[in-house]
Amino acid sequence: MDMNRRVLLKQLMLASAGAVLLPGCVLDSKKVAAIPLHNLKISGNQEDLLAAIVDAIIPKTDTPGAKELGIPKFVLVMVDDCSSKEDQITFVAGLDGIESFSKEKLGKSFIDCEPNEKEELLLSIETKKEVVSPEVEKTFSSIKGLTIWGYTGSEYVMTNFYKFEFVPGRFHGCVSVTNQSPA
Amino acid sequence: MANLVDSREERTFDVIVIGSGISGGWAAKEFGEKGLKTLVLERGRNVVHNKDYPTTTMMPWEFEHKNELTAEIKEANPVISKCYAFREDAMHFFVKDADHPYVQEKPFDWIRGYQVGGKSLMWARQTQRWSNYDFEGPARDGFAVDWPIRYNDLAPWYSYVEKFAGISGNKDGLAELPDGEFLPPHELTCVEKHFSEKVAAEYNKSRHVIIGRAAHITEPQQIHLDQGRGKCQNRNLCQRGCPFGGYFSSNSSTIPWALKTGNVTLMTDSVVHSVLYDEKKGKASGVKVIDAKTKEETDYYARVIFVNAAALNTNLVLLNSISSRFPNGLGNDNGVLGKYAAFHNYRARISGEYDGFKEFTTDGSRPNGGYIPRFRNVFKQETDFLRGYAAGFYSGRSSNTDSNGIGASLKDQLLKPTLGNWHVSSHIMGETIPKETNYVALDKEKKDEWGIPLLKISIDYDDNDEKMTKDYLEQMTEMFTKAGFTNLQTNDSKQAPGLDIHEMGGARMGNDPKTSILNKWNQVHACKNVFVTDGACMTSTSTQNPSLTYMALTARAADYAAKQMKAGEL
Repeated sequence: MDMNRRVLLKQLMLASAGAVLLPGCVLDSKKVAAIPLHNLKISGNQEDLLAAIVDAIIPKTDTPGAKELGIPKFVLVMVDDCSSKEDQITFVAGLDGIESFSKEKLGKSFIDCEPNEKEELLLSIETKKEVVSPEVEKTFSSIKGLTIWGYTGSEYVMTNFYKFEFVPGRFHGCVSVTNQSPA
Repeated sequence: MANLVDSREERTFDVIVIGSGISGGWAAKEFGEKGLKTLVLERGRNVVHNKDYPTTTMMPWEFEHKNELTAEIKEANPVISKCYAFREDAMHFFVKDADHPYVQEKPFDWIRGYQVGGKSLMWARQTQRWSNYDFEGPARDGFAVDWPIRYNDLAPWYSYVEKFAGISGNKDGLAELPDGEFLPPHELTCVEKHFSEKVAAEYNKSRHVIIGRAAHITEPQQIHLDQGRGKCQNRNLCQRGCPFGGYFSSNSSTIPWALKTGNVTLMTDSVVHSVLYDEKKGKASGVKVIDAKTKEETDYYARVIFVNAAALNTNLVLLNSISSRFPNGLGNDNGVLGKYAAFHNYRARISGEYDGFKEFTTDGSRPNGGYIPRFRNVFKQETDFLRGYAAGFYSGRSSNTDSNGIGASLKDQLLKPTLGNWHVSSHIMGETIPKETNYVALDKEKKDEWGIPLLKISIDYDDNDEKMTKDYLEQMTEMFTKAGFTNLQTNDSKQAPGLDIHEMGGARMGNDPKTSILNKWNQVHACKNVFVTDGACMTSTSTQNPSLTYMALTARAADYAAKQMKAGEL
């Protein structure tokens, strides 16, 4: 599918009052999600958008960010396997809503925004600074929750920052906090 | 199977044990050690210690759904999904709803484990002895029937099973919760010790907070090393099966021990249809087995039958054992079989925080918790409800993470969690009163795929349970408040019976054959070569986690049965 047609289709959709949110696969039937999914119908573009949101929530700094740790896949798998059908529909609608919100506010796709623009945009959803649809609010909150869960539960974070022990071999009921890792 | 057993002689044993769970495993071990040729029948698949624990070494991040259940599994399994241990890491050890249907005349969450080891693989491992205040309960308070045994009958057998299984605990010297043969106890936390001291002082030493007594090898003895079991490594992942054999299960302990004697045959995928009754000899002759996979039917014979199919399934087997002599189920001359079932009330919880001991925390992990033995109506009746409740008590420091914001600042916050307040929580373990109206029976029409009638379960709470639940919440609120705990939150889940996984009774013990099914040796009054030593035998439920008592009753009954066989009485 060439770019012009895609842009046109998206503009058409936005023009239709933005109330009817078509499933993403209708928009772009060629590029499908790279991750095999059971229930969720997600296009490649939506998958890229999700990865960009996850990346913005926990970015790469001097340590790996959530995207590098494979958290976008975790978010999709959890929504795909562990959410109800209704929540999945909301999730896809919310993803598209975040993209529309980006276009409305910044005149470009979320994916094309600068890091600080992405952060501000998502922050404005979180802090309710901007009025967004319930789908957008719910989807953002779900992506953020799953991103944090996936990130803090990743091997990298658990072993490097939380001093995770698989086989503690001991229990002490009362030790000084200075002798104990905070996690 | 047909090739294995093409003659009656090859299908004949000294003893048949139905079930390989926590009590069946003990029967197998005892009879094997005594040199009796024993057949153990397990309806599920084999689970070999360490070989068949597929998730036991998996790291938390290796679970696709971070140990959560998928929506599909939850939807397909509304009952088992309620069980706290039915998670991604251990769900392969639980019966799925659709595989083994039953009829809920009243809501009952029946939690089952159909495999070698049964639920001993996933149990909560709390092992408290009963006292005479428990055994004398029905006689003193006028419910059910009098237990035909007292604490002294069981005390040596508690010791016997505790030494082999490995029970950690503290010698607390409490009349209402006798001490056992303990390995070193787990530690209480600072807050648990504080609570213990406060409660002792506020209630004039009539209420106690102690460390739970749990089937964990905190210091291996030679008898544990001989089983190939080692020290508990505090992973707290017991439900997956333990590579160290650190907690007791049939799989790590009694079953391999029994097989090592060379006298025990373990047959899996063998669904017991019924106990066979020989009308001429006036006793049971064996059992009818249906191959779980081929549905082929085969009879096996033995001088003595031990029924250890788990409380409700033992009732099912006995009710389905129909003969001219016993048209209403084996040993059921009095119509009591299946009735007077009971369970433990686990409905109520309380939680809170403690704003102290901020300079302290815990280190490592503890597969155990604090325990509050029953303090209501122990020495005399003192409330408007009968009996009482024990309670679990837990504490630990929560981890505070600021998850506000987006980007690098959020990331930084997540990587630097801070210690929050100590949190405290407790749950009720209430005694319920066995009643004729709480029963299980065979469904008259519906059958399972092996042609066995479905079990119909009709068990409910009563007014006594409501009063007890209310009292627990009131008393714990008072105790928590006196200990300085704040932000208290109480909850009555009103969960259905069954989710406690402590269902008991239906084939109760008693002195009088007119009102009970089993005698003081767990022998069916009217069919002496059949014994029931699992939860079905329980005359009353008390408040203690029941498995230790099943183990002790089984070892005691097996000893008696073997002596009777030797004397030619059985």
